[in-house]
Amino acid sequence: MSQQIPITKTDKGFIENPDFITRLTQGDEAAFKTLVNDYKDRVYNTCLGFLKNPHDAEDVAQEVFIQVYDSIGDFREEAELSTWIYRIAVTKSLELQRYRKRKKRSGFFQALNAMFNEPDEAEDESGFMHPGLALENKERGKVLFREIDKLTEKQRVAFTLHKVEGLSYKEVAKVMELKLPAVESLIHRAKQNLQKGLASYYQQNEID
Amino acid sequence: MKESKQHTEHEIKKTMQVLDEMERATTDSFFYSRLQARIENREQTEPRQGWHLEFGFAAAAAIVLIFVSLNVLVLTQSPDILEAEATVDRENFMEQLAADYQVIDPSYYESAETTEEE
Repeated sequence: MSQQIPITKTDKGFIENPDFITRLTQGDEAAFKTLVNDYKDRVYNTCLGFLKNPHDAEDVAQEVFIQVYDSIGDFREEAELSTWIYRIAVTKSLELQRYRKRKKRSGFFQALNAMFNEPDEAEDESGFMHPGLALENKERGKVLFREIDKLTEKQRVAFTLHKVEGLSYKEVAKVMELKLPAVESLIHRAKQNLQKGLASYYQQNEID
Repeated sequence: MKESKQHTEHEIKKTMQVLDEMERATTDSFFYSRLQARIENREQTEPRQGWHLEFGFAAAAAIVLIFVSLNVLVLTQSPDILEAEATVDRENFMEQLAADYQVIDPSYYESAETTEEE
């Protein structure tokens, strides 16, 4: 059953051979397993970058692969497989993030909910520490992720894909379906806003 | 003042560099097993959901049909009912009128008029 599939990869490690994609679209289980094992960390890391909660990130990463499993037949080969998977990961992460923000805004219902339920751990993103950060950088990372969360949605997506997931500007442009200069501008503005936010944070902390 | 500004700039720079040294977060090796279990679980529960959905549609359709039939029935029956109600109202009014003016039988005047004419 777990038959080895010959696959070729790009220099970034993305699967690209058409035979593999054909097998995947035909519902080949071994091909799906290869795909999941190859992309699981990228998808998980992307989701974690947005959601800042390991449980949510794992859950959404699974949903991403379920959608891939369900709609691989609709995959158009003119798009890259990696681009398509990243796009699903971003969409699903943002959906959950919007849902959580909506839930936070509805204060009355939240208060009611809190009266009858256990506090929701997943909502506490303020103390998030990315597991990939070195120990000495954990505190700085916490501050930075808090500032990233204040960016506009598009700036956040472009910045996270580029800086957290390590995609090139060109790859980010493909995932976001934008032109390259638009992505460059988004990341530039994101960096400016982060610097402003951090300046305000450090000045405030110095006063305190 | 200048020192403070330099310190802030240094902090910002160091914080912004944090992501350059960051490693990718990884899942454990059982990720695929958990995913497979979730897919299988979903496939097992889906037919039942489908059955519920079908039943739900059938029940909703039946309820709509009953309401439509009742409405049609009421509409087709209503002219007779209205007519009957109107007759009853007229008779009641005549009786009320007769009682108010202490007339036992209103047809008495009609017959009296006809006798005078003759």
